Amino acid sequence: MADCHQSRQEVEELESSILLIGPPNVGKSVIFNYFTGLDVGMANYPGTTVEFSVGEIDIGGEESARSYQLIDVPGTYTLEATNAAEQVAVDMLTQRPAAAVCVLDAQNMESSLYLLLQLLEHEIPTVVAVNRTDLLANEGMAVDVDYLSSKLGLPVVETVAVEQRGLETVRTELSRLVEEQAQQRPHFSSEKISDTNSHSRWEKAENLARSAYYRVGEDQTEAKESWDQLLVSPATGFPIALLVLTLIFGLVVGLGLGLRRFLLSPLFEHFVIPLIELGVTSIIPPGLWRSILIGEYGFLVKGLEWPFALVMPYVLSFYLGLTMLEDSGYMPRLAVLLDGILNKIGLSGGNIIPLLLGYGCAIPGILAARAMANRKERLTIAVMISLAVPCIAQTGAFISLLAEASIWLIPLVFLFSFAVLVLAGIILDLLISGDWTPTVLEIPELLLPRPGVIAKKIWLHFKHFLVDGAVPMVIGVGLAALLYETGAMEIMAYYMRPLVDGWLGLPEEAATPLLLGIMRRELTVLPLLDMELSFLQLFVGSVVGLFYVPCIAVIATLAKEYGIRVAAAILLLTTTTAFVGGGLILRAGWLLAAMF
Amino acid sequence: MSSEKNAPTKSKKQTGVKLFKNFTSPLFKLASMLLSQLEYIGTFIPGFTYLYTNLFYRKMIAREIKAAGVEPGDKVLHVGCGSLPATPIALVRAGCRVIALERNEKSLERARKVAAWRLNKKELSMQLEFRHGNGLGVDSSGYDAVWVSLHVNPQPGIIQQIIFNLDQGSCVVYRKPTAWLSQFYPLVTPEELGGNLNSQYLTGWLGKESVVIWSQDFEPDEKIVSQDDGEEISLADCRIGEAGVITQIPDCQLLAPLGLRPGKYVRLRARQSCGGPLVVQTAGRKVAVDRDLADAIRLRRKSNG
Ligand SMILES: Nc1nc2c(ncn2[C@@H]2O[C@H](COP(=O)(O)OP(=O)(O)OP(=O)(O)O)[C@@H](O)[C@H]2O)c(=O)[nH]1
Repeated sequence: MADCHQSRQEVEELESSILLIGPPNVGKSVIFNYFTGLDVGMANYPGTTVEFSVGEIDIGGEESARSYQLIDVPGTYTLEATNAAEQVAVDMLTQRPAAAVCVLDAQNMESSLYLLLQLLEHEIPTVVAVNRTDLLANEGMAVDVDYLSSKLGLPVVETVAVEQRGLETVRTELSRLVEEQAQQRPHFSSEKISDTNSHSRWEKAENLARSAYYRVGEDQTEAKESWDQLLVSPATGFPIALLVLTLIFGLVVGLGLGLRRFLLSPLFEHFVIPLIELGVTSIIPPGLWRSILIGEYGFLVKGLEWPFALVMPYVLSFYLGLTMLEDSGYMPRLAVLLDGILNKIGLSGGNIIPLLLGYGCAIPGILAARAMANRKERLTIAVMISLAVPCIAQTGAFISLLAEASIWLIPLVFLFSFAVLVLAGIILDLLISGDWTPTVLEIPELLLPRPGVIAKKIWLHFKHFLVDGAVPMVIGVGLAALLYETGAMEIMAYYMRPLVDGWLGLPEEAATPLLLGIMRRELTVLPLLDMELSFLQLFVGSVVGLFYVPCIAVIATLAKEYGIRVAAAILLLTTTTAFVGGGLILRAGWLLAAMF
Repeated sequence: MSSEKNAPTKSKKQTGVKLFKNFTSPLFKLASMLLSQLEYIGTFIPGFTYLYTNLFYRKMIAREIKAAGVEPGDKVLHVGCGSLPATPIALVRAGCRVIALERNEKSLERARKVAAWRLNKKELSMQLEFRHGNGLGVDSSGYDAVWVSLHVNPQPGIIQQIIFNLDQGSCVVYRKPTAWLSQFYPLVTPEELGGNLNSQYLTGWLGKESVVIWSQDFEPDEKIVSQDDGEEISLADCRIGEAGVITQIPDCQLLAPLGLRPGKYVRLRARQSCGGPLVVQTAGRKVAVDRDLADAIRLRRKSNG
């Protein structure tokens, strides 16, 4: 996924580019993915595209086929450059792209048309796609595209992006437009754009929208509306939210546990690992190399078992849960419910989205924070995620580690992390100064997630996990095997003894996870599995693992987003919190044990 | 609404006596003692005042100041400032001249110190005066507005007295317990205080609600009394399900594209707890709008239907 994101400088040359512009959450990413074959994130809440994406689109007939760069511009309601995303869009428009596809929201034609009118002022050849017409049809309405086309003097196409309806027509119209332009017949809107103040623009948009809508049948959305009323009213909304989150949590843990216990663990234990051991013992003579491959930290044993049997089930179940939350449009409703409470710790409701994403992987969480209104919120979220939000791989590791000892340790660790999150929020609110931005949040329509879309997204996350998760994990284990078998580990463990044994009360070997943890978050936890720790040691180990260094990739992301100094500060903060917190808990535990 | 505005004084006194009894409740005494102790101890912890004020008071006071319509230069009395004088400080910052009354000398001493940290010398000397005294005997005439704390004792008696002596056009603002807090504090509603009092409720969070009561004979210009069609009100004052046509929006770039523009028809769908946003239905979508912003959005009410 990372390779399709480019920084602004790389797209200086826009002559052979086509911009994809539209309001947030209109379905641009779906259209982009269709044309380019790439997979950029899509979700049912505004602001999925925080970084713009670039891909190739082929347009033109058989003989004159040509490929252009298609740029998925961050969604904007207007082109007035009030936030970073809009600024990006405006910057690109001033660089004279070859053409633009403006995606309108059929359910909100007024504001979409306003955006279109603003776009037309930049005199860029434009194809208009009226998307989400299926949802409008549910309301018993339709948009008269011929009327719009004749009024605007532009090609206007009706589309349903998720069903790929109308998208080929968009491609054909684009080809025509680009060809005409090549023959020096620039095709601008016939609509005279003489005065450009927002009032007259709104008036024009309102008139166009009013005339374009027509009724085709009955409104079928009333039942949905009354459901939604329950979701957003606090008296019913909070219990429902609790129920939904519990169900999702149950689904993630239950499905993950089930997959692991009944499918993957037996598979590895009885089949894959014995096979590998057989193979290795028959080929490689006993000694250093064999131990590295199948010994204590056996590269081929733990290196496969950990990522695939322990962590992967939870990755799959988590993204199933998250995708359902994302695509149903429930997340913004949760954000609205929690806004008042989060305001008290200096956050706003919208922050719940990056935080929830952070429970999958810190990086998308930190990137999603870009959509937040001000730097204070962005930074607070980044710190909170790096400090006390375990990624799903680490959570999976926690569950494997703790469930064996006592089922109560899992909620205990999670409650502890919540408490630290709240505390961190309060402290950061005092430390970081910044303006308070009033909440204005669009609540998208409730949609039933489509199985096809869910499957596709889980598949994407899975691929992502293989490349960015499993590979570093295997390398980490390989490194551990090397250090362990050559005896280097022992020497390091010796020097780290005062910290690991003396201060944290963990066995000497626990120096290993601390070293490996820098690579991947779950590696702070997994090596503890076979150490036969006591209840208290498990808790201390988990707490240290939870707060300890976010993985290398996260630090790199932080440095890119906020600069080296902030990244270093966060690193220092998390490490100190981990060690100080772990040590204090150990002592508190002793004290409690002595008292009772 | 106020054709019978002069409610007989006698009946007012009687209600006062009736409510008076509630104050012997041991729960109430315990709660107010604990709270004032907490605030007192808290003032010794650095950062506590800031946090406490932000958490419990900032938005509430801002809303009260707005509703009461006090302006820079107004003279305001605050009865029961406690050891953490958040309200007087906010009022001074709003440009008022404030007299803060407290009957506990230890708290008063502490309040002076706290105020000295939070305000500059000029504000301290020109705008704020702490007085030792009991709320019951206070003369409320000569003030533009009077604030009464939740834990003054007896709140109903004091409030009645203040209303009785209030100058024309002035108002009293007090905080009324709701939800769980009402277990500990006695409830004082404008209705119970007797007469046709001209009042307005402002809902806060954590079980507090502010009530503004204007002196009799006085009708504030922006207050919504009648339910008639065509009345202009603020979106924040609408009931759930109520709808209207927007006449005025505050300066916020995000509102217009989301369908909150003058001339647009909107309906209030929900009001979040804890000072959270309001959920508004516009033509094509639902939008959550911060409460303060919603307060500045004005509608012409449409009769329901
Ligand atoms: N029913 C229906 N749903 C659609 C259609 N197009 C997109 N969606 C859904 O709308 C949601 C938003 O789609 P995205 O592609 O993420 O929207 P976007 O415009 O890229 O959003 P931002 O990145 O936030 O600007 C997703 O849940 C899609 O499945 C459509 O034509 N019909």
